[in-house]
Amino acid sequence: MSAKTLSILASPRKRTEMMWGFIFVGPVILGILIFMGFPTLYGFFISTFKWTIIGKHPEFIGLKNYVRMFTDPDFLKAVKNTFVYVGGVLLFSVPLSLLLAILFNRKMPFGEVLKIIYYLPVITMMVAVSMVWRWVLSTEYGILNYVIGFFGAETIPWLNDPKWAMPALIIMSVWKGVGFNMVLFIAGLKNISPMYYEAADIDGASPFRQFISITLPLLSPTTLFIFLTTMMNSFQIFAQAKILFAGATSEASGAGPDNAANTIVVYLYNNAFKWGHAGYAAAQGVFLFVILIIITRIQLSLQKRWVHYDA
Amino acid sequence: MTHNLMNFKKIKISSVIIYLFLIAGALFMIMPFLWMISSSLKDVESIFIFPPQWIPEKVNLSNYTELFTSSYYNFGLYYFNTMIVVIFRVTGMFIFCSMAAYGFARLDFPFKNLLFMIVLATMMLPIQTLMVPLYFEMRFFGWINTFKALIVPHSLGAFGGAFSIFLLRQYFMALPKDLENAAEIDGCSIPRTFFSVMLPQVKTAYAALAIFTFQGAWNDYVWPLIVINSPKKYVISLGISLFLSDKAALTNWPLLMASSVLGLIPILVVFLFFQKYFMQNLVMSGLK
Repeated sequence: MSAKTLSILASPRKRTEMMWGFIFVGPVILGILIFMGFPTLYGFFISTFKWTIIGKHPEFIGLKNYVRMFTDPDFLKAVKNTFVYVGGVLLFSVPLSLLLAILFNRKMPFGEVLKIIYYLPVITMMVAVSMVWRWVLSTEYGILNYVIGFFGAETIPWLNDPKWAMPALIIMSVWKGVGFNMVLFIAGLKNISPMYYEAADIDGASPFRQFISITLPLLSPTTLFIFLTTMMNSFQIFAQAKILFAGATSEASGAGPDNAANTIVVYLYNNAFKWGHAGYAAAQGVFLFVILIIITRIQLSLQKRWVHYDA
Repeated sequence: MTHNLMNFKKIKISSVIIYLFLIAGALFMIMPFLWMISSSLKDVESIFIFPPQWIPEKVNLSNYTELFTSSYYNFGLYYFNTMIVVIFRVTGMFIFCSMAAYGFARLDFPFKNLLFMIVLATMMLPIQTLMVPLYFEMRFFGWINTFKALIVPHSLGAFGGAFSIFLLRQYFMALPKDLENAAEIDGCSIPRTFFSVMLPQVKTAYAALAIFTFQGAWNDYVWPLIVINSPKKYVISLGISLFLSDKAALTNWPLLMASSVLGLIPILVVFLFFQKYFMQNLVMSGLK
């Protein structure tokens, strides 16, 4: 026992405080260990078994589920789709939300109302808006094809063509999330002292130059945070894909035409709860877990090196 | 003078262009909602009229009544179930997350930092990666198709409670130590100090977190999908996804859109009333 612990035990007042400390944090620690800690270890355990969802007679097979995973073309396609999706969302959502934040960073009539409209999709239920987007993206009667048709574009089979499935998913997700990142960027911009811009004005720097040399570097903590949170959330994509593409394939599995919208979590869910391969699905859960751990590691090390903190 | 005037004009024009761009974007953002409401008020024939009508010729509320009264859908029940889950989760957050936050902020006990690191680590562990082991665990507990499964883990800080604990801890740490010292001199015990002196100090954080928890509980889909399969215990998100299992219903767009409206209305109302708290949460989360 450390010297500090001993000194706590020595005084009755400290002992009471320690007791209450454990009572106060106890329920939450217990909850986290039972509902997150144990399942994490249990997931590793399940993944080494051939185990059906009914749970009868699991058979230990070592790493065979992992071997199967990396040789399963459907899983590899789901991984590829997920990476394309994550890349697509990052590519559009982050710059777009930064642009919106910069444009909103000035006085304008009804500015607050407009901001709220951009934020509206963020708070809504994913299941409900995914249903709405099924209808918005409908090939013949959807409003999106009507609107782009208005500008002379051809009708696009968003949900029925493997080529368009991923763009449809990305458009919907950017629509859902852009307001979230925008509000964070606006807060980041407000934290930059106007002093810097005044100094740059005196030196005659152009607005573009000011953006490159002042805004971007001083905004980098916010940008990094947004980039990595968007990435983490995007890897977990599930409800949108499942709902937008349910029924579009004969199996109603939510994987999209020709599996074009099959993502890691959708495939995991179908394996576990549709086809009953619990052991195999658990291995996929471990795979996703490892990806998220790697991103977090990158986040921690980048925060130390790259980011300029405003002193 | 002329130079100034030119400059003024240039700024004006660019501002107008920016403004128009933002309005066009806002129209795109709000379009799906308007389209949803408009479609939910149509009947099965007028929904396929082309070009689309934004305002239905005759407003038809039968889709809504069907969702509440038909034998297949029971949205009244789903609302009731969802409200139970929401109320208990918010209460649970109030009690357990704030206790833990206070413990981590102000009390001294062994392994405090290690335990706090464990709480923070749960932030990067989404439910999606744990679907299978959690399902087995819930079945072992006998919690499948129970409200216990929907309420207990979240109330005890699992699945996202870490964020609330983190924020409340920041608030408690910012309070002056004198408050507790004064309470101690008056002879208050630690729990008494916490409940009657410290808790009232963090009311604003509570409001924001209550809304945050409400939003998470109302919109929750993945967790109910894993632990609930009896329609008697369906929450609103599962009620809406009922349409997915029925191919004919999946093309009954007016009914589908009415169900989406029902899923969105409560959260939109809460948002419009407490809009400032929503944004406040978000800004706080970016400051970590």
